Amino acid sequence: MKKKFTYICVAASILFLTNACTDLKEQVLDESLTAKLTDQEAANGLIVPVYALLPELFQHTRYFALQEISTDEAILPYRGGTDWGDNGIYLALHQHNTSSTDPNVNNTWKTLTQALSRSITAITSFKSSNLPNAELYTAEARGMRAYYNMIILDLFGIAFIKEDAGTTSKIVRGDEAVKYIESELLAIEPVVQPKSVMGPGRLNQAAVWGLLSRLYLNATVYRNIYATTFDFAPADMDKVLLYTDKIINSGQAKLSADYFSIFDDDNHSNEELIFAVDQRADLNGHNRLAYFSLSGDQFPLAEFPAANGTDGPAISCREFGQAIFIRLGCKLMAM
Amino acid sequence: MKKTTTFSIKRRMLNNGLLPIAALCAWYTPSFAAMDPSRNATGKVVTQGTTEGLPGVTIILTNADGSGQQGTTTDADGNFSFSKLQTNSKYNLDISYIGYEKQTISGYVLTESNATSLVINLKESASNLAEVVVVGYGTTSKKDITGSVKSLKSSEFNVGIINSPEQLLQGKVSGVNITSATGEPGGKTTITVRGPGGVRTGSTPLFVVDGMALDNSSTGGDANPLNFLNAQDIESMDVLKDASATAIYGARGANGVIIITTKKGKSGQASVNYSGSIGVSTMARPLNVLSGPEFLAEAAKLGSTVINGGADTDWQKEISRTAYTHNHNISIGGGSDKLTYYGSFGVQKQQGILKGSQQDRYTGRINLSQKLLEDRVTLDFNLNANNTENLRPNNQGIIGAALSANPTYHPYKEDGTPFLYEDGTNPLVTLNLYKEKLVTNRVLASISPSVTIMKGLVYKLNFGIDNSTSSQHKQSKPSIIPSDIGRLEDYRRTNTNRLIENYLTYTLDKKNYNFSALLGHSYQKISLQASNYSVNKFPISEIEPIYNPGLGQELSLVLNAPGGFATINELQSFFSRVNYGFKDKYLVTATLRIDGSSKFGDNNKYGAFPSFSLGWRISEEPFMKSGPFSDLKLRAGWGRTGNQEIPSKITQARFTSSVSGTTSYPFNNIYPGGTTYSRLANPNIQWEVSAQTDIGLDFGFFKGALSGEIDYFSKTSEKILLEVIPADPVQPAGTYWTNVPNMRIQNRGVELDLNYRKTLENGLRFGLGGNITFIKNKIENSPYSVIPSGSAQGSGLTSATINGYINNEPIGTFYLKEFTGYDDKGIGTFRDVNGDGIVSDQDRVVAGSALPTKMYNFSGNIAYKGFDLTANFNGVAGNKIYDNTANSNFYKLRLSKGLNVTHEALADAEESINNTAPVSTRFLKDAAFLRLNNLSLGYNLNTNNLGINRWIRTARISVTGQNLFVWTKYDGYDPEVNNDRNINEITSYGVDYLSYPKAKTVIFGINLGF
Repeated sequence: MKKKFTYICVAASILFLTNACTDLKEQVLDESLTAKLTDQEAANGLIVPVYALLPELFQHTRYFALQEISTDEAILPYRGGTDWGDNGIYLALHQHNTSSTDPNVNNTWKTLTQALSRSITAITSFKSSNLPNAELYTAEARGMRAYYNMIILDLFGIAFIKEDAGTTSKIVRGDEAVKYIESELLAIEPVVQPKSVMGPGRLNQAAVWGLLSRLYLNATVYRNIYATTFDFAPADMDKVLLYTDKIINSGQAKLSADYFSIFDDDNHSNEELIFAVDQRADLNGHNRLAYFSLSGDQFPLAEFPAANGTDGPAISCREFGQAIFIRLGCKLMAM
Repeated sequence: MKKTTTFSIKRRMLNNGLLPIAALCAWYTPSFAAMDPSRNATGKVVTQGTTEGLPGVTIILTNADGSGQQGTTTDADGNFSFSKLQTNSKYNLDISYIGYEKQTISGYVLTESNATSLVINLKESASNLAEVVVVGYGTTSKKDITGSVKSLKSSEFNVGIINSPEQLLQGKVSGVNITSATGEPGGKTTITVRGPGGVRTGSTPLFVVDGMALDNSSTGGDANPLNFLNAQDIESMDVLKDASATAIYGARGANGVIIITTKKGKSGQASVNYSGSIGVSTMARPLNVLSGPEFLAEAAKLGSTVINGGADTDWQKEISRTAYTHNHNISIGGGSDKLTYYGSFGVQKQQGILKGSQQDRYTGRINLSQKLLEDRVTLDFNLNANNTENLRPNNQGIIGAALSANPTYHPYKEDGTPFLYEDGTNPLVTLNLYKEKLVTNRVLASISPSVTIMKGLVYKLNFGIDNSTSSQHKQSKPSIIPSDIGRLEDYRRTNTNRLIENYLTYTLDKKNYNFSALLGHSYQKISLQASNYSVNKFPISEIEPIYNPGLGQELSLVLNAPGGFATINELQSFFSRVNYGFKDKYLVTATLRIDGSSKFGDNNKYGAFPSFSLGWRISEEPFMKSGPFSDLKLRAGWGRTGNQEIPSKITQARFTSSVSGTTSYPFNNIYPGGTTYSRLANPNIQWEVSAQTDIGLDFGFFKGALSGEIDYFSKTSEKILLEVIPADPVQPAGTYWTNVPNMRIQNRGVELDLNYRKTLENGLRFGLGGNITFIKNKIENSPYSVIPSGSAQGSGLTSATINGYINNEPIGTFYLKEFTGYDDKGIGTFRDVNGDGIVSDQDRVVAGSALPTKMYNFSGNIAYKGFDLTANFNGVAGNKIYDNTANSNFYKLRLSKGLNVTHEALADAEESINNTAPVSTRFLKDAAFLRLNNLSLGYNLNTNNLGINRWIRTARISVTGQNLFVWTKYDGYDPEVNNDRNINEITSYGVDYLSYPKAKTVIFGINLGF
């Protein structure tokens, strides 16, 4: 059919001196539909998107809101017609009456599934890569996939097994999900490097240990969230101790000399943080968690005078810190 | 008794060159002697069948060779006169008047005996059957049309301050719903023909200006892209409503087509016209917020302590003003046998009723038509150039602040600067600190030569270009209180639309039948390009950032990331139409258009859009000849059209490498570009399809005095394009575009148009007209329980949605929690629909729709002597409006916090001051209204009697009231409003949030013809 039109058009052009023949191929001017990069650029280009959604996930209206406002660690009351009514979603969240239309639930879900997908794209692509560090990058991507799956399991009770971008995900629950995440983390444990090698803000050896200990700590609940009683098996608890000890003994992290510096805007290199979400404001960072809970006349970031406090939630200070970062020792347990 | 000479000549006879001898011989004295002395001639124009003179009739007199043109208009008694004529010379006269058949008298020989006794009988046009109707790629006459088309001439347009051509049509065409989204000068207007057929934005009809199909993309800012046309240049607007009429525009016909034809020069009539007006506008319906004393008293009743500033300030008055609009327009028209010309220059300087809001528009137009090569070639040339400057304050900011500001505060300090109060921002401060300036330049040019190849066969080329560039600056001046470092944003946009069309038309007229055929090819290329930049932190100084962006001191990727886009869209089409008429009784029309678009997926590049329609002129049948009908025609048509207004590039996957907030992440201190998919490919994406059936009846009674038409239509839109969530959520992009299978949008309705016109014996003329549309819209087979739209705005309402697209309900449905009153603590209660004991979003109910089910309009005009009075009313019923302004501002708690409210907020005594106001039916209101759109009184001066007719041919003064009154239950600014609150391009309907108030305007005008 297309060809026929071209003929008619050419005939018409000759007849009517028209220069208006087209194959109607869409010209795309402002987007590259393919990427031309060096191998190293390509590898970095695939691994950074795996992390890139972390700052979004840790915005005050995403994962943090779902984890904290839904508990007694934080409340976000109606502030009298000038703030935070949000059509009642934070009241519903606190009362556990949240429905599927809650935008925070939806956005957290979208961020997590997209981050998961980016990990899978990276893993698939590294399989055919000739880079010397492809193995390390693959391990990072797998570790992040396991981390995102663990959050999905924690929030929504499921995990996705998907090895190739072209296939359909397999949804697993309970023990199967725990086993899958455990196996992934164990598989990459020997490959990932300490924080001193990886640099701040990236998945490192101590972070994997931390994630493993967190998984074992919560495994009993993950296996059957609707159980009437929970029997925390000693075997799991031993492993929690095993991996937290590894972190402490490895010297890859230690307590911060100044407690409050762990809440700084540029806290990514703070030694106390085992696996920090880099939240510097240069690109996409934000210290939303700081301004979320501040009073309206306080300014957490000097560069952003518009981002004053919100008179928002009342948050228990101790929990505030724990929710964001995997921290040392026993505080890790609360993650 | 004075001897009179009477003309009663049918135009057709003149065209055939057959002058009625009987009429002529009375005054024809064949004496071609030498030049007789110059003398005056006087006469009178009367309505045929009466002796009453017709005032304001235009008479153009020329010598038989076309030279020595004079023009005049009749006075209040219908008298006219010409000076410096020679007896025994031959003259031609053209007599024209609105509502009357045009009369031409050729070769009138002036004699001593007839020079003072000329009586011209002007015949009221019996019907509009011969009226020219513009259809796609050609014209036809009203009697031959088989589709549903409404043709509106300039004399029928709405009057008043007109920013864009849609306003000329408002209320004039049944089935067409025109809603001005705002009262701002140059603001957007939404227009739908026979109901919306899609869920996304982009259901605006196709506009074709002198053969050039426009692109409906924004030309920058929030301005209406059609502002560039000067209403006074428009000769006619033809609205193609049903698919049998619009299918010739194929993939762009689904939303209806509006063809705009601009004025052309007429040979032999050189004329210069000036029209000027001054309009005075005030806020039509200010909101009833509490006055200072009321505020203090009501707050005290609630037990709240509020600040008493000691004044009684009407903040709405402080931010608004009496606004003036000046309009000047000069047009020149005329021509010879071979060349006709029309040129115009227009200026409209319009102040908005809010301070700091203004639109200045300059338009220039040249239309030329030249005949060549023994009239075998006609070259038409049209050029329209426009410059518009639009200034606006932070509209919503100042309206919101004015409505809720404590009315006991003084607006100004003693030194004349705005008063600064601590618990909020004085809107006058916002007015000083923030400004937007949009400058748009748009040029539309087209040239279209047509060549008569042989008798009946005409080849036409149409080449046009429409280019618009705009720049918009948004500036926040730096200030200490309120603290603002200052910012300048700069937006640029270029829209280019090129069209080339070639088509052949063949017409054949035989005794028993006529036949015409059209065959053509069209290629159109539309490119859009936009960019934006910003800079922060300006020093506090007299210099506005807009004039010196270099003073900005801060640039960061987070706060000042530049943006922009560029797209090219190509359309290639083949089209054809065949008309066949048998004995002027049986009419058949068939069209076919094949449209291809670069936006469509590889698997669906071309679509075919056919239509068929039939007409039966029953009044031409012998058995009807004696009936009461002067005209009776049955029409039936079916056609399939498309809506290709789909986003660009959505058929292709997007795999891109970029450094941005969601794709990159710091690796130590570097930010590598992240390579991500942000869109999945779908090569199957195609246009939305709309099939429409129309059955109509055109009728005329009493020799055409009462005429009208009635139409039934049924329009079904399918292949609805939506951005949907994939089944497997683990996808590179969270959504993808697809044509949803089986989902349908139905629009069914009945339209009725009636017009009555009568002239009484005493010369009083009057006309009554009206139309009514009943329309029902419904969504069917949607696989989604609800598609949300209409995001609520204002503090406390983030995340709430107002509209929902739901199966078996109309588009624009309000999907809300049902407010049931208050509990014993004065807290709002809502119906627990699913009975689970919790009121949540699961308990929302369908609570009506923003789409009117009835639209009605009526108009009347009356003329006597030199006076004429016209009134146009329009109204809608069956629709609701969501008062988001009240929802976020007017409830008891706000007053207890020291913010002003309307009396509505205090209406419920049992409401507690701790009650929240979530989105619910509490703020859903009836939006039915009837508006006196415009009322105009005019007087045509007798230039003859005033002795100025040698310099001024015609003179008219008028006074017009625009939006003088609205009958409605709605207590917001205006029930006819729609803030665009779309969610992911899903259109919102009927949401009012701090809308720019509408103006009430009185316009004094003068028209002079030279």
